[in-house]
Amino acid sequence: MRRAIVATLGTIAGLVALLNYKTTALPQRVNALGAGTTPTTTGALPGDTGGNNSGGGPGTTAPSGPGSPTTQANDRVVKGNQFDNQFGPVQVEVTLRGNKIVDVNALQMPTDHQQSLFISEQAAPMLRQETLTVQSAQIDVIGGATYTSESYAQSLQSALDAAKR
Amino acid sequence: MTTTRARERERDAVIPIAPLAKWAQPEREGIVASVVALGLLATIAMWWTNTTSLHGWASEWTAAGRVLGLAGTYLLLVQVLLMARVPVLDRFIGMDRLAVWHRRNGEYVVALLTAHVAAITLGYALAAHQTFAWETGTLIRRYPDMLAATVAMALLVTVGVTSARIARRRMKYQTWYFVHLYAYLAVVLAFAHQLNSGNEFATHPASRWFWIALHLIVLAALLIFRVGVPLALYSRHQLRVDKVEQETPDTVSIWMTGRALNRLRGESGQFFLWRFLTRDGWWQAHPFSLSRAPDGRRLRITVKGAGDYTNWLPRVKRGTRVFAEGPYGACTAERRSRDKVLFVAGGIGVAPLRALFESIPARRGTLSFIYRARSEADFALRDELEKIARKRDARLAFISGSRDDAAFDPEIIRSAVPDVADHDVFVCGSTGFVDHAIEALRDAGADQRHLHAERFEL
Repeated sequence: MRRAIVATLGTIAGLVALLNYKTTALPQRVNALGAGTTPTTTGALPGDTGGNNSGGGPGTTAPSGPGSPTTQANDRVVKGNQFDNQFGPVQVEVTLRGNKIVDVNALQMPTDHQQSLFISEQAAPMLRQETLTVQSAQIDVIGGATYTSESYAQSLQSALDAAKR
Repeated sequence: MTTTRARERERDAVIPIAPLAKWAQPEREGIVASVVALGLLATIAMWWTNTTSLHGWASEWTAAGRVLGLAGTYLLLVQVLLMARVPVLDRFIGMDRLAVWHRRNGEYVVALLTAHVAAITLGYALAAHQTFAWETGTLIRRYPDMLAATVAMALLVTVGVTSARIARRRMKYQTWYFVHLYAYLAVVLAFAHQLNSGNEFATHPASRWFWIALHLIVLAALLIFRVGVPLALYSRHQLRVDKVEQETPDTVSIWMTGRALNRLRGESGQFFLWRFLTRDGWWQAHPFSLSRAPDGRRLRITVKGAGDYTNWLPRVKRGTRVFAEGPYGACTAERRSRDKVLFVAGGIGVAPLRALFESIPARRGTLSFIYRARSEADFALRDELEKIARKRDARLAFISGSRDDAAFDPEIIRSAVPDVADHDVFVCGSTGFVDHAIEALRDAGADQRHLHAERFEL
């Protein structure tokens, strides 16, 4: 019995120590997929993914993005195709002002697995920033989110193609 | 003499190990435990390198669940390896102690893996803002190979429950044994979900290969030492029962013959796992020590009736084929490093010690033998011991008394063998007897480093 107690307490102590080292206090949690200014995070419950290109087709244009404070009247919001990778579906919509990319919003990012969710949360803002900087889909892959980065670039490219930019 | 030497050389060529006499049992166990711990560290290191910074309860529970799963599975593989009859482990630790490790580690493994399941499910449920029950259903239905892993977990829990001491006492050996076999199935069923849903393995090829290699090593050890080696031994020697002899009312000796027994490794102090190939007995293998030094023509074991199996055994017919795995057991003359040797036997523990008593190299007058049994009628092999004692000019003491008697105390040892501190001591008997005897021997002045014990689970 004493052995069992020692083993249990030892394991818990070890676990807490391990987790403690790995836990970093973030000032505040990044909102889920909080890249865009639009509060839309579409679908993406585990398992409800369609096949390739099953999401909204390209070229869905709207005069203005919903609820975006920086949106102007002549902005175009274009959805990209959905691209699946082994971790889940990725789909973005891009906001264009003339030919300038002023915003990218991740509509879907992989959330199937716990880890995917965290990767998505961390990668989405970086990918958005990257896009706004290079003003094209030729964005660098984010380390640790390789597949997601590639799908992101593909979806972004399809949106830009649809906008005939 | 030459044949013995040749046999020793042959064996040393197969298993090159530094002389075991250098380390005492606790040191040898420490060495093996350190190796196991290193592997565990490597396993946790996979988790460490793959785990990014955590924030929030969901990610922390999930991360805890992952490391619990990795550690639990690693120790599950260790668990299988402990029972894979690996010669190095047998010689370093001994099957009796390995069985104790196996039992303790087994309890720990089931606990770790149960915690793994609970923590991961909780972490995922928190992340998805769902209930624990909903997440459980989703995990099983939606995640790759999770259904198989769920079955594996159920099997492991069943194996654990049926192995608890309370359950063992109420169960037939047969039931326990066949349930225990499902542990192998559990390892197999759980494997796919680790590779396909385990984060460490999805993202790090090196971790993936490390993990696959671990599984392959254990599989190879099982195939070689539990299947290949025994089959080779069976076809080479073709052992058969030659004779069954009554020693005392509840103890029999079984003689076996076979082909080329001079090439059979195995020496005094060692045991084989014997499988008597009868219609109702073939599936179970039990350890019995050689009770006579192998002479190249016949082997003999001496068995006390203490359970269903050992009570059935005296009825095996002459000519019955015998499948033997072994030899095992590190309590051999090799352990000895001093001139004087004392043997301390409790009950049927006399069997391997009688063989050693006969064959251990020694000058006349340097051997002593203390034999404890319940009553005068229970001294199996008494005549043989007296004959050997006369021939080798050895001291021989018989002590009778029930197990509860404090009949075996330091005084008795000191009066029988006053210079016990200068002896190598071989102790053999039930776990209770051996532990008790070791305590008494140390009190009488025997040196820990020169105590060599073999415990029988009766």
